Amino acid sequence: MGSRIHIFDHFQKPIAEISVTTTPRSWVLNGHGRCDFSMSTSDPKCTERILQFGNLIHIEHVPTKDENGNFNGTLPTWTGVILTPRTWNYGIVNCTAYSAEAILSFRAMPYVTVKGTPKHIFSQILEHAHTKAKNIIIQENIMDDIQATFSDDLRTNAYDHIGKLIKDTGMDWSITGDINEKGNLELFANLYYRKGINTPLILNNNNTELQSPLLIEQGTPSNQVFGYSQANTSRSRFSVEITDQESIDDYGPLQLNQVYVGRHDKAGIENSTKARVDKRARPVRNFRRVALDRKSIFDYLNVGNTVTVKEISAGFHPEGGLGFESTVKIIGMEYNDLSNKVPLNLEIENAS
Amino acid sequence: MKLSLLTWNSQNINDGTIFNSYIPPGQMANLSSNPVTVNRALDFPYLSTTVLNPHVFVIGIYVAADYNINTARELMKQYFSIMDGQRHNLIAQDENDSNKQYYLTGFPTRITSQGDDKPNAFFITFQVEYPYWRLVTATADSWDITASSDSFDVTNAGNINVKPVFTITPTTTKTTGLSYRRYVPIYNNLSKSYISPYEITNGGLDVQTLIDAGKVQADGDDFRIWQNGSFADRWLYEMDSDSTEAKCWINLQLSPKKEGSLLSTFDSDDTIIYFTQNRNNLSFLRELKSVGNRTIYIESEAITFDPDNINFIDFNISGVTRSAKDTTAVSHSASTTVRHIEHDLWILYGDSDLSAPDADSDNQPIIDLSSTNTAWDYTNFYDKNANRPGAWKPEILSTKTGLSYNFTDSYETFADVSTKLGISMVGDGDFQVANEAGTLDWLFYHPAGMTNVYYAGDYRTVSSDSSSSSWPVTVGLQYLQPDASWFLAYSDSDFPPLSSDSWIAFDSYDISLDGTFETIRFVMDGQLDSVINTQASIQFDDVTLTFNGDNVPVSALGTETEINFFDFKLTNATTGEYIKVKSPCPIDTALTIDCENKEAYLADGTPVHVILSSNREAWLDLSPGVNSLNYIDDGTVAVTIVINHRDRIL
Repeated sequence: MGSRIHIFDHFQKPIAEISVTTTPRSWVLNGHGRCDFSMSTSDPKCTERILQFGNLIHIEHVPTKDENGNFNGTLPTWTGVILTPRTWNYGIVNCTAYSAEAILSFRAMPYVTVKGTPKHIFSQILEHAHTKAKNIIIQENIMDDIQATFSDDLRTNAYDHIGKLIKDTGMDWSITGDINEKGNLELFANLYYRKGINTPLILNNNNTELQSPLLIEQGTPSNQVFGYSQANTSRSRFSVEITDQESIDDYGPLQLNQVYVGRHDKAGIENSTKARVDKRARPVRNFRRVALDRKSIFDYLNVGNTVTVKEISAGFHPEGGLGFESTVKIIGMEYNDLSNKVPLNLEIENAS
Repeated sequence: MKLSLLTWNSQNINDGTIFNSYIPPGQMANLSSNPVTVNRALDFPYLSTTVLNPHVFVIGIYVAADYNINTARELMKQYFSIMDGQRHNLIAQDENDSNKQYYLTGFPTRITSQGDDKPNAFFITFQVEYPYWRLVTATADSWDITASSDSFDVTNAGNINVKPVFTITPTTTKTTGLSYRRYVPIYNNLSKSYISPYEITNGGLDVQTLIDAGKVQADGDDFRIWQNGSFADRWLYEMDSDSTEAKCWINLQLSPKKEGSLLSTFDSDDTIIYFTQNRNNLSFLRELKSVGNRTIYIESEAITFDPDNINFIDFNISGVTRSAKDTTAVSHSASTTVRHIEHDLWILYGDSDLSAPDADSDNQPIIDLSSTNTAWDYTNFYDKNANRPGAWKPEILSTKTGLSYNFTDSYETFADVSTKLGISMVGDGDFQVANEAGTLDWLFYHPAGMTNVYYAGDYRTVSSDSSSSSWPVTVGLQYLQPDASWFLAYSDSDFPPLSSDSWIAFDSYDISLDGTFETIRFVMDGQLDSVINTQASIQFDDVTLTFNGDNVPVSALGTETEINFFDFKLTNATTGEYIKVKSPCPIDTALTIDCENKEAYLADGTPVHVILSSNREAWLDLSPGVNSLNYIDDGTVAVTIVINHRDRIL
């Protein structure tokens, strides 16, 4: 229980290691998480230089030990940037940080159109992000690709456009941080065919907290999607229809018209519409489990990883009755040093 | 049960030297649970279930006569430190049952005096995880099975269900079932994902000899792929008794490579691997902590490890198992690369009764199965109804007329599965409309990258004006230059042809790309002349792609080993519940089914999937009293099962 917290300036150089009671923090797949921490104003390290907005923070989890003296699992490191809000109370200051992906929301994009495979577009967006903000260097690391061409009219910021790319392609991305031999913080941009690993972890009543609800089936399913490109005239507008026949057989047609802003090519429309149908032809089955700090469980927890959940009390089993055993993907997770448990947001990948 | 205390965290607390201790009478029956009720209209709440409460356990402790109270009190506060934060065991013995030892696990949460009149006496309160006492020494019952349908009685001496650990060891191969296995380690050479069809024998399997020896069926029906605990789809080529090389394709998914390097010589009998202390190795060790398959590979030796034995400070892994997966332990020199093997992959064969397995044809690689891992041949390219591995992808990136299209069979016709990579740019029949300008392609991506492309094909133009032909400026093979754009690899200088309605075959081309490129395409990009009903078409076929061999995953083919293929059903006839397991297991090695931790694994740590007979929480409990176990696995000759159980007293 507890964490080591390092602060770096906005040139990624180390400033201080601070000691705070808890750093409740979250990880979000294809998004940015958040971390809150508080310091006494009389702490000698409570200085503007250390808590400056724009400074970077790197948090390492310290594992607990079991009754035999063996270390339990360790959570992934959390790297982010200190931003607003910062709240001052009598004798205490509450700070907020956002995980490193958020840095890209402060990287304005030029008004250009990018085209190519996802890796190509991702790389171009990062290049534009570095053009006029050279202080924080985000290096390309894992750069997967898929066999499809997309395009986008860059208008807002790198984070938004990467989010759009990820949504259209069904891929994953992240910014990870690591301290190098010189003690500096390095940031890495990753584009994954699919983030995470398939872990052997099975979440069951032994290693999770009992909580309700057990399962939520939500989202607006669409099994017949009509995708349209952005165009001013019907002649220059591309359209495509993608269906999921198995879903239509089960639920009947659930149709959706989807106009893709910034998309002008038929291939891009087709790829995006297909990705939409693949992901949302059926209701999304999300649920939460709270993982306990038992044995090596924390080693297996990271967003994008898959774990197995065995549930005997919720969901309609395909063979009748209730329950399911399924492979689920961790799409979000949180940690609080004081409670020493990890609430997980999970999405079912396949069930039986 | 009459318990007397012995130790806490291995410290004697009841030998009369410093302390004596006791369990207050009420503590042996101090249990509670909370009911879960659901309100109902006009009725009493529905009694739904119960939730078990957290429990505490209190012991009394007092300083032995003639021992200094102040000194003993301070020592006691060390023994039962509330700041420890680490769980420990409280051990007691049952004076009514031959001093059999039991334990509770918990934290000390409170130390209080028993009052001013008893300055040498204290109460210690423990927060315990389970209020039931568990046997310190598990009972081990051994069951020798010589044929299927054997039965055996096991007695649970506790008063609640207990979750046993079954250790199941075959000592002779079954008379039925798959009989041989060969290990196939595969690792990624790239720092990115590798998702692609893969031929796992890599041209190295002499099937003819196996068939002639009667080890594999003549049609290969019993030639199976076992991946991460279950059978995987596979597609065979030339799996017969002639001398043509046989091939076996699977769909492979590898995450980016995970590798480190040895600090020093790792001798053939060493069990601690030391890594060079650098950042790369630290990342590698961190990654090994959470991988599903606990196997690393050094040169041609597979080594299994326990993630609990990874030391990030000293950069080592202790207690590794050498010569795992039927490999041989040898000495490895300093700086040798250590690679993680992501999938536990085996070739299994040797069951003359097996019929052909089901394989989803939607997942069958679209390439010719005669291809190799470094050169893919195509006669089919695209399947409209399935996203088949290895397929090309048609794209209409822009078309002004909206009439241009990709076609899939000879001469602007369509077939599913496609036999051509066809593109046709079509002008309009109306002078009022601008002439066609657009980009259409057939796109292909491979993570290893292409170095050479061979292809042939045909083309034609159609025009209402017989004196002019119309042809877009860019037609041919392109590659995507990273961080740049599309570059033309080759375009026939004979293009465009004279206006002709007939198709003209063009020579085959063997194009060596200027480097390695992950993404290529056959493209038509440009505009047609402003002529009514003009059309330009091209079709590519007979394609062979050559990949950069350095980027293709590396595999090996292990030696043949006899196995016992478990396909058993283990039933507790007393409760009616059973579990089923299907897994290869080498002779004289154990399959462990740990019902307490809900884990099943082979001797080398490979996870094994367990199927339960009903939708329940427990795997296979032993109920209090006698439990009659039954084992069914046709063809069994000799199997030993050891049943370990720590009986529980609540």
